[in-house]
Amino acid sequence: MSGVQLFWLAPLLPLAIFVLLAVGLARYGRLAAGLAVAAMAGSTLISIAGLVDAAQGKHALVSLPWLTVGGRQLLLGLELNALSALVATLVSLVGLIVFLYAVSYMAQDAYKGRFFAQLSLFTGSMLTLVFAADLITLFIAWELVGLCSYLLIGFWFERPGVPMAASKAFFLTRLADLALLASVLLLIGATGSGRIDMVLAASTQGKIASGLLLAIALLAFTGAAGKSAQVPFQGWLPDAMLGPTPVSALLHSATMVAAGVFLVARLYPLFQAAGPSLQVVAWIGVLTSLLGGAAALVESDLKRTLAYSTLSQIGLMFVGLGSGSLLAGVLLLLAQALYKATLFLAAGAVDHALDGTAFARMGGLAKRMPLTAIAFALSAAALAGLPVTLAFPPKDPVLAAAWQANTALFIAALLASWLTALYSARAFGLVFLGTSSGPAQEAHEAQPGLLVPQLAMAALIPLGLLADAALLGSPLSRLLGERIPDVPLVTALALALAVAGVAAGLWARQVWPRFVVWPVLEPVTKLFTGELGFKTLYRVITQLGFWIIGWLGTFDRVIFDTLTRSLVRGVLFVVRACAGIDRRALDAALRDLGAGILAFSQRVRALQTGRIENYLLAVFVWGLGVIAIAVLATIVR
Amino acid sequence: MNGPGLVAYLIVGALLFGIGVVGVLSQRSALMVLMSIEIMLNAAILTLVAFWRFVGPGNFDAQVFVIIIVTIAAVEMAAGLGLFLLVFRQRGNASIDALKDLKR
Repeated sequence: MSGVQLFWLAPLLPLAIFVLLAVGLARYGRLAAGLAVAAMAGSTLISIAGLVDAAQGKHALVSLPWLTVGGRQLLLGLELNALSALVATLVSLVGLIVFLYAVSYMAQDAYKGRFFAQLSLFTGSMLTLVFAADLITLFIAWELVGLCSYLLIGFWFERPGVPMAASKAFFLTRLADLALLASVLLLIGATGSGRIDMVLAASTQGKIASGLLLAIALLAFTGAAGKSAQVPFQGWLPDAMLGPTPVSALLHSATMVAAGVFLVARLYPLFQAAGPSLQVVAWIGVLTSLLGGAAALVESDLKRTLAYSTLSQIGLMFVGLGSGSLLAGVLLLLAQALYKATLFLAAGAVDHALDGTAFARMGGLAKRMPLTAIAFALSAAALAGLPVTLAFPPKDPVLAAAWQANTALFIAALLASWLTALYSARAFGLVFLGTSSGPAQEAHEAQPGLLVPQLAMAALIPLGLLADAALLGSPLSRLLGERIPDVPLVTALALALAVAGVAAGLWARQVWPRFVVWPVLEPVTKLFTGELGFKTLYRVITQLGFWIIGWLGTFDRVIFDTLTRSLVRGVLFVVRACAGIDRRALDAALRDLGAGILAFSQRVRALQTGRIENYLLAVFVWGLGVIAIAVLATIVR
Repeated sequence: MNGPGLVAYLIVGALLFGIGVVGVLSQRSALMVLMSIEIMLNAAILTLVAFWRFVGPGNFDAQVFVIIIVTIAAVEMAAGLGLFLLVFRQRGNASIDALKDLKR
């Protein structure tokens, strides 16, 4: 199997399964699950083969023409390069494990087929996005990912609050997608090509005016911020927790939120060329990171804590990218996907055991669910920044890059990193340590179908970090175009802070044993759970949206409806006129003709008396007439 | 060649024919109509014989014609009588006026 030749199958396999399920196979839940898992396994193998080829410097492109606009041909294409192969391998691998987990997790759900259809579309779209060779394909896949996240968050749409959460995710990301669409159109307009490599070449060679380039970069980042839930679009992510846990695991690690980071990484040369855009990226990232970390610290629900932690981790990725290190951002993306997916799978197992994810119901679960606790502990340690392997903790390159870029940024990122350690230790402590109470006392270890995938994923964390380390000197690192930022002082500082954070987190749990943290900080807690007034902002935006929609509706009613109505009236008038002509002229003519013939027949009928004498008389008269004519003819002659 | 001439025979023939015509048109009884037809045929025979006697005594075509007419008259009488006998049996009378079924 050659990855260079077959890589395009990786996104197409899940998409094909989606089509199969959508046309009717979704009815058979077990078959649907089996097909989806098989397709994902195929995608994973192909992606790994592609990664092996890409690591050797190989490159491939497949495309088909879509349409020609104003002499410009737009292509739909897929491309295999180092970055796409790396991220695709991650997406399909995490996808495969999550699919396997979902087989058990959703076993009792009546709509398993629909779930796997949407999940297949989700990963297929994400793989398409990753492999996209041109901006059009990228945008289509981008929108599909958004749509799928809406469908999957709203999967249990009959539960209270779920439709609202799904709509929130949809609207907020869609708002940001408008900016991405604008930037895509501007780029195609400015360079005359949708091909990403050509666009990047044009932007680095200074063929686009610097002001325009900055606008394009900022618009593209707005789109990425929406997808990755960065300030000010972060509000949808915590609410997205209402979806099934496998969806959260996928959405928070490799598919949805990773798309924003991937977009910035994919267009990285453009951002580098576009002046101060990378600083915007970095500062937005660090702001989100601090906000998410603080919110995670005061959250009282396990899954929502993990959601806020995703905010903070994605923020740190943007810090890495914004500080000028592509590799730092991408490495954190890879590592985060692995440990965040594991955390969610473990949280799902806890959810199944306790039938709820509020911290108040938990405690002391380490004794009841030891294997889940191990998986959670391993991934939480990786999240906190502890060296769970011989390799470095993944946040170090980001911090080192920030150190090299800007001191204020470095300090903020360090603080965010410390918050990460604090809340991961707190979450672990609240769930697994201490004494059991309530439903936690009857909890049992998760069933094998839920346990094996999370342990496999947890095992990937050290392996993945090892792979990261091993790849540093490899062609892949060179392909991504740089050396890893490495400052020993920063590494030491980060490690010390992580240890201190974990210790503080565990200690805080001891001092205030239940889930309430720092009562003194109650106002701050409220501030963070209220998302710093962003809810008001969202409400204003939503109102604005409704207002615009209402205005458009009025416009539609007044102008278009009137137009259509008059058009219909005109047509009706013509039709009625035609009908009148038909009735009064054509029908009448036929009727009169028939009546005339009938009347004539009635008259003629009177001639037929039926009396033989009359007929004979007529014969004689006729005979006399003939004779008279003959006689006359003789005389005339 | 004494006695009445051709014109006299023709006048008698025309009179006979006229009587026949009036009989056919005016008589109600089917028998009388048949008789009147017979009179008209005889008028024609008389005319033919008169023409043979006075115009071409050597040519016997007219005599052949007369014999054929006599035969036809006999046949016609037989058929007509049979027909009207059936009509009488069916309807109880043989009045020509009653035979108006074709009008329906």
